Amino acid sequence: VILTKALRMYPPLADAVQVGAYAGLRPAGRSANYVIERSRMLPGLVHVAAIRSTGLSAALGIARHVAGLLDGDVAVGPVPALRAGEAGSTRTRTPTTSGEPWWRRTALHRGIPTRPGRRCELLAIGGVDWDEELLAVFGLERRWLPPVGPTFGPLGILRSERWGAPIALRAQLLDQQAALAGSGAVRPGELKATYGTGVFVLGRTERRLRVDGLLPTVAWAAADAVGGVGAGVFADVETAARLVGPERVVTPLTSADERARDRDRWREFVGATRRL
Amino acid sequence: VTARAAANCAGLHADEVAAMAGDGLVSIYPRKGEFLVFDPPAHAPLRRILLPVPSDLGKGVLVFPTVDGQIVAGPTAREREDKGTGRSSPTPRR
Repeated sequence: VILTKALRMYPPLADAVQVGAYAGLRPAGRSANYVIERSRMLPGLVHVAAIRSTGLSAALGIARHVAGLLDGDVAVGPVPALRAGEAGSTRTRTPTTSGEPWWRRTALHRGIPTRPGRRCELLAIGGVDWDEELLAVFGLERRWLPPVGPTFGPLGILRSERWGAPIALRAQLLDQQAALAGSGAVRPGELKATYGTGVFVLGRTERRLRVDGLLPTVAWAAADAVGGVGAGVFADVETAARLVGPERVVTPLTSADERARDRDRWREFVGATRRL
Repeated sequence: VTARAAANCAGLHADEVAAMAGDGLVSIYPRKGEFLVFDPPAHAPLRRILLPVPSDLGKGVLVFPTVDGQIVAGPTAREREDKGTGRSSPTPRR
């Protein structure tokens, strides 16, 4: 089944030798996904069920949400022991939304209205702006959308009394690059690996990488510093480490002091960018 | 073991754990995904990730090169009933 579809997109695969396979079972919700709710029977118990692959990058947010569901109600005493239930005795409590397309089921389950046209699909490829034609097709007004801006260039000047000198903002990190910094990978050679479809590796580099197949996602140059972030899909993280040559894979910052200092610096930096 | 709080992150078995607490949750079924790994064909290198236009059933099968020079195709999304069969199919021999 894989091969028929794969061959249609890439016919030369017919001559390729299969050297391996890997597999897994994903937990799928019968009528909804991302079912995160408190138990109605046991205080202090939260169910986190039917998490899709996007739960990997959402893990920290989900954890915070779960903690929020428990907040103020945790100190109610021990959770009573669970009783073994009969296998297959679960029933579907939520109304099924059959007939609706799969990508709307969870939104419907949660009562979230969905609109046509996701933002990323409305970008004009090759430009730094929304696509006028697509906006018209979906009946969307430009003022509903955030402005689109460049990720590098002379973006502004950041000032703080504590810094001693103003800092020129040359590049901004978005989404996964920001997550890279958020994971503590800020020095050249540090990288973050995400396990999903292959191993997606994102790393801070000191110079332009010359490895075939790697994608530079952000690059910047200033008077005294050059830097960049590269990404690629690898079969395993060891290969990634060998090709990229990092000093080490990201490990948590060591001391609480160091964490607090980085957090303060980061807050100050974010505050300064908001004022631009 | 006693605890003030517990999270049911039982994956495929989250519905069964919920049933132990007396809760009816959405029922969970296994959806098997399988990736096949190939040595690349000699005369036709693949330089980009091929992603089909998503259909009503899902995002579809991808074909993508890895940086270490192999080609991966997948995943499948086959609905299963048995929660214990997560192994890959045997690799065909040539």
